[in-house]
Amino acid sequence: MQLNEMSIHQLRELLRAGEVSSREILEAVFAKIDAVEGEVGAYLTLCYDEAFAQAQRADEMLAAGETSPLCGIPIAVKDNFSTAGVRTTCASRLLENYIPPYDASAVARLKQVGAVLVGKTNLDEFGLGSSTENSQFHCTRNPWDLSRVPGGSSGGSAAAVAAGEAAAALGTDTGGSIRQPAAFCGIVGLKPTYGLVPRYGVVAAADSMDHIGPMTRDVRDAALVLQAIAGWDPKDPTSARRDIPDYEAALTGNIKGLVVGLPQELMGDALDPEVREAVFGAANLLESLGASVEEISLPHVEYAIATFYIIVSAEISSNLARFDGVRYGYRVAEAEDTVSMFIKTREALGQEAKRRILMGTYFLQAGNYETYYLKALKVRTLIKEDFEKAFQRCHVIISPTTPTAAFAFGHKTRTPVTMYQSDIYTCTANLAGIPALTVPCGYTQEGLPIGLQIMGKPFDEPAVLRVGHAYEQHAGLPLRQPQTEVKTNG
Amino acid sequence: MTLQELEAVAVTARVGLTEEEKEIFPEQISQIISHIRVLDGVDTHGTAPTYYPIKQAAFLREDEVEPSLPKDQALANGPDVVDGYFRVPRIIEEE
Repeated sequence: MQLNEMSIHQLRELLRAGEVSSREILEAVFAKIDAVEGEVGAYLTLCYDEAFAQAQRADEMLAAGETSPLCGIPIAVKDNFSTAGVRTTCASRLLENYIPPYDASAVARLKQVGAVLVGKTNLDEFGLGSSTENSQFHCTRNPWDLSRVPGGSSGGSAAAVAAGEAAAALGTDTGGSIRQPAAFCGIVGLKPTYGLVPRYGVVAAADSMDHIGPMTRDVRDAALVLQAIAGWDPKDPTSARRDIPDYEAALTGNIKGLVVGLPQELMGDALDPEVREAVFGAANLLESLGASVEEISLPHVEYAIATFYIIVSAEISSNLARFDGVRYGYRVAEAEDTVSMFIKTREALGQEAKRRILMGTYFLQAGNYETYYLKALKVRTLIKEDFEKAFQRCHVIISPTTPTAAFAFGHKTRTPVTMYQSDIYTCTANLAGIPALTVPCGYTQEGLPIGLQIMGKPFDEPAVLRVGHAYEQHAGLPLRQPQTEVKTNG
Repeated sequence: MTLQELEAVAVTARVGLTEEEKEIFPEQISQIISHIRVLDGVDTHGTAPTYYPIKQAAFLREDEVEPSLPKDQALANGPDVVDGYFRVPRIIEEE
């Protein structure tokens, strides 16, 4: 196995034993990037010089006794995290040349323990989309099948990890944007509890639903990255002030006696038969490991898409108002007054961003506010209560991560409603703020990865990770690599 | 949603629309609205709204002096900066 294909915990052992250096790992990563990036297109910006300087510093830190498992590990970061001195575009022409003067808290925490920033990954503009086709710069292709999307909006992060172009990545998840691309690309993705990982310095889409989380090769790596980025931050008023447990210690392999809920509403007709079979197979495996699987009901889940869409659009219309061309970013060259400057500048937004801003503005208008926005906030309460009730019986809840495996380019973008409906399995966890993990649980006949979602009680990441890890250890999935092969130079 | 309604919302949102968007958005948005009206049938009588999913008590930071962003860095991304100010087109009209 090449260094660029190894997990963080494998690399940690090699680094601690002094068998490899951070520099050598980074060289392997950039060799893979040179070979496949032209096809995959995971990155918007590569930080070659900065990364080698950070790798050198990491090697010095390791020599001086640094014990963080992330020290010297090459990590990719979605391009909606502010990175000091490194362009941060959100895949939008409005921010094409924007260079933040500071690091997002999650990025600062990674740097502090010696992680190496490989580059900034592609996304749907401002995180609005499920295929990374809404990037205003280029498409990212799924390393498992280049004719298919990597998912989105953290599609670049998922593709980078799957293709061996980074050991791990950070993504953001507003309605499934970590979990859906992770599932499509055959990796692990975790959306933690709302408030566990501070969002300071991440460009807001819908701030009551936005989450930061790890995208990794396995569950242990997700625990290691979460450990580094979780914890209270006085710069984020929604950040949770509580003690952070040892997530790796939760990976005991023992799930005997745990009650696993399987919501009937998420196993219905919309589900692809191969995905359904894989999820039932996973449920059977969890039972064989000593858990009991019980059918449960989340009666308001059928309203989740509509609820989610209204709240997200309302929050986006407010958050994206800051992109007005006054203080940073693109500004139209000629405008006779400020209002026309705003309007013409914001004409450069992509269609999905505009659609959501327009819808959100409409939902918040006098006369519509109560019909749409306030109504959705109340239904959100009912959805949250469904989960609270279910968690009185269950330790975790499982479901598919996505209704199908990765789809082809252009397949869903033409009908917004169809695209939104594919968020049904993931967006409920954003509405309720609960932790949700996706782990690979099989392949379709065409060889595309399928994801299993594991949801837990607020701040019970240990249970979610424990179940995901136990499943992963016993699933016995055939070890497959994406089809994107390294092309050797001569 | 009619084109006229769409254009009114676009002005409120300060978003310029292309000809193609004026063509396709009214029907797409009408479809979305008809889909989300499914919520009309949900009984939310006596249900409180959830603005944030996890309740977090408000707190005050310690009143400690910390270094802040230097002015030149704060202004570095400005599209039109003059004498330490962001310059924009005239707001107040001449008499």
